[in-house]
Amino acid sequence: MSPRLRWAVFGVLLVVVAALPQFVADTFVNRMSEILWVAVAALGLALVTGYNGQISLGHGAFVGFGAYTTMILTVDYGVPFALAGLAAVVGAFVVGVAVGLPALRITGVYLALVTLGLAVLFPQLVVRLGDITGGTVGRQLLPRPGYGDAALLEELGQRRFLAQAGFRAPAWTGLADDQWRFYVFGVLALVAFLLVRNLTRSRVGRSLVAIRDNETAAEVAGVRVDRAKVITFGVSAGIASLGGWMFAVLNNAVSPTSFTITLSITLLVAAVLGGAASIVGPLVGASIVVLLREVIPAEQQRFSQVVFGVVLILVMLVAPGGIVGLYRRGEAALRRRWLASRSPGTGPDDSTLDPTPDVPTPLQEA
Amino acid sequence: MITLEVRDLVAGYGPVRVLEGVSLDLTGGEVVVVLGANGAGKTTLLRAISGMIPVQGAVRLDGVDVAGRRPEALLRKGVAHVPQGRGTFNDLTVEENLRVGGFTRTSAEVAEDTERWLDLFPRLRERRDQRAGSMSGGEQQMLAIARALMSRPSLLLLDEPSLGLAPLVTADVFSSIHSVVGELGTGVLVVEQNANLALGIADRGYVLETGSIVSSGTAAELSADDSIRRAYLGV
Amino acid sequence: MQLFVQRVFDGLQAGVIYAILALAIVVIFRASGLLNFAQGELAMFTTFIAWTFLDAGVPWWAATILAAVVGFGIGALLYRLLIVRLGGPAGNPLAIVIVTIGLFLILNDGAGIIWGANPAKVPRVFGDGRVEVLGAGISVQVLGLLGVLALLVIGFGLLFQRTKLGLALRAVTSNQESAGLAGVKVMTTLMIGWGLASAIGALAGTFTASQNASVDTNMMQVALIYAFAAATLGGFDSPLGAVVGGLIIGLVSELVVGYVDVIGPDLRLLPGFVLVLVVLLVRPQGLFGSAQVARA
Repeated sequence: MSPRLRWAVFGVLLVVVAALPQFVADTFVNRMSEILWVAVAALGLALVTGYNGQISLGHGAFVGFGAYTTMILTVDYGVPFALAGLAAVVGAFVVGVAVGLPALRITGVYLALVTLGLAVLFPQLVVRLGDITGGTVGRQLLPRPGYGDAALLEELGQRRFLAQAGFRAPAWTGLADDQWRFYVFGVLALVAFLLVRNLTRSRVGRSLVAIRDNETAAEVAGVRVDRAKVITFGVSAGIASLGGWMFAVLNNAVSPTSFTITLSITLLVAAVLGGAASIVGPLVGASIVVLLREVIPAEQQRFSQVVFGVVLILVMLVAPGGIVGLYRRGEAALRRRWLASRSPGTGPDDSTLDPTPDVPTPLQEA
Repeated sequence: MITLEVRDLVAGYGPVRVLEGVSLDLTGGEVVVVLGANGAGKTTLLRAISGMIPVQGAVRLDGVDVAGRRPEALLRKGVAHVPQGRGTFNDLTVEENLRVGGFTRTSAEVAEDTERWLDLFPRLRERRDQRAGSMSGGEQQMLAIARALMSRPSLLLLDEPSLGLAPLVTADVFSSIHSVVGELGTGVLVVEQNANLALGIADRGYVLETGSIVSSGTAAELSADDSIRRAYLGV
Repeated sequence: MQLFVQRVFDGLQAGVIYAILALAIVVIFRASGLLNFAQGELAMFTTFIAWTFLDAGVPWWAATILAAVVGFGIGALLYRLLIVRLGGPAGNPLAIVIVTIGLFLILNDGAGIIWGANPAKVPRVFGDGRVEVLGAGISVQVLGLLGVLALLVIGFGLLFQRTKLGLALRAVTSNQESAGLAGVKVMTTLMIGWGLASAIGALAGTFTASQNASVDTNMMQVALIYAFAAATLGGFDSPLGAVVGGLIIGLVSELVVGYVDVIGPDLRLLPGFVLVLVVLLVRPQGLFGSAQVARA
């Protein structure tokens, strides 16, 4: 597709998706909201995998961090949701940098090891800090009746009431809560995707790809490899944490079982299946992962891990660029055939066909 | 006495063709040098002969075509290959390197040959239990040659033994090669940029340019050839 | 004092398992420069196979050896059928990590589907007896496990240093191309390396099961993380480091959890995690590893 056509298709899709909540049931709207938070979290992971060329098995922990930060700030301290979200993103960035610093200074698979530990540690930490997190049962964003200290309630007054009311649609919009939530998620997701898109096309982003493809060469070219990597990891953690904010707002409750290693692996499946080195990939992957869970009947749910495992292996063997990678390959092949049929024998060299070649995937076959 | 006949050998990497039909011969205890500049296809030639990359054309050992056979198979037929950059096992000791070199032989033969090569290369004997990676380039090159000889080859393929070595050390390495082959009757096919020293120990030579043999002759003829003197002898 | 001795032995008991699993990780890393994230689940899976033999009336030791043999086969096939297709050691490490995570999911869920999600009972191989050491009652189980670990370390030391197979494994690790040129069958050697690692993993699994007196699908997940920590601490290319690292991680975790109230049993994993971060910052090649690993 030419860039102009691509934008046109994108615009039409956007309008269709934006109009959908007006016509479908609220459960469906909530499902789309779920896809959006998974997509945003997977996008954070894709930034590390697709552009840094490394694997994080701990992004579920950053999602959990975002969700818990949101819950604690809004419920216990009456902080407005928007500010809580900002705090969640900034906080996760700091944690990401702190964790990434030791692991990213060295290449290899150390990041996968450290983040695997993070993923398993996070639920333990939540249980240990049960006084504020609610322990194994978790807490709701709408406090149960009689919950909390009466004096504190008094003192916080109206602000606390705001938090207790949850994430509601403002009256002027005339929207139902689930619709409002979906639109807010949509805008946030759009912002996150544009941020990543600009990041990967900026000088910093191109230097990241340079790192991924050839660390020594990038170093020679004057890219501060370690710093770029650590900052990317921090940004990626912040984006995953934004996904956590969305999780808390959507579900109105957080508990440690939602943020185990399973979540981290689900995000990896979404990113890899969609195509980790593309920006649309995580959205495609998240849609499939969420809908797959929806389609599999409850009594067969236990097979879902096997399915995910088989998907991961098959994607690596057959289509390392994920679904987006497959699409790009198909498109390139079609265009070659079309050009060849137009001017047999005199077609331009294949390599000059695409003036803006897509960023190559580290996961694409050699 | 082994004979090697290479006929119309074509090889490369993926879509890139490096060798454009190379033919050469080697008989018995001859030392044959293939001269060529960087990128002429010298390393590819040796890799193609020893079965490390897919080829078209013929590689005949004693009249039997072995083109496309794996390196293990060629090793068993008596072809030992010392790759570019020496290819020593840096984490293993000198003695262990030699034992890997004799991997296809019995332990009695390995023990016997180990002593023999340690006698011939006294510097290696001094460093017998030292890690190969901790030795100098020249010592590593000697070790690489000794390791290849452990398989008791009748044909030795040497890929630029002078690479990265100081001139004096290179001279040392070449004189070692010369004395070894003189004693064993092993055929040697050596590819080199350093024509001076290589022609000094060679019987015959070929000149490889961008994947094709452009001239050949005895070492004396090649040394006397003006164009070769200009291109490879730096005179 | 008595409590201290007790905790030290408890720590060693846990550490032995981490050490054995770390040994499996190191064997694969040495042979192919890769990490197998499914190592723990492979161990769990083969332990269920051992349990199946046990259930059929096969004695414990025979069942363990059979499980190790099956584990060897699975590991070798895994290398041949999956890792080679992804380019082997020269391939994309990212893709290989993702594939081993896929295997992790399949084995974990698959074991649950085949054998059920509920724990199955396993006898304690060294019995429930206790010996008194410095006033503390130490279970024979710990001493038995330490003995097994010592045997494994000696066995592997001999295998790597004294046999032709060990020489081949080390040669392939050091320089694959030269090993092939010297007549070492590289593919077979790497298959054996992966097979050996899975066989060791199977032992880690059956001993864990014997220690817990039960086998369940999630039994090796935490152990895997500790084993990675042990290998990081000891150095990914050092079998000795794996063993020492495993014992240190086991000891430190037990003592910190026992004596530091803030951490307590809920955060059992924290001391090991912090230790790994510190090692990566201060000495990335680990205590016994060579520096190249860190920059590899």
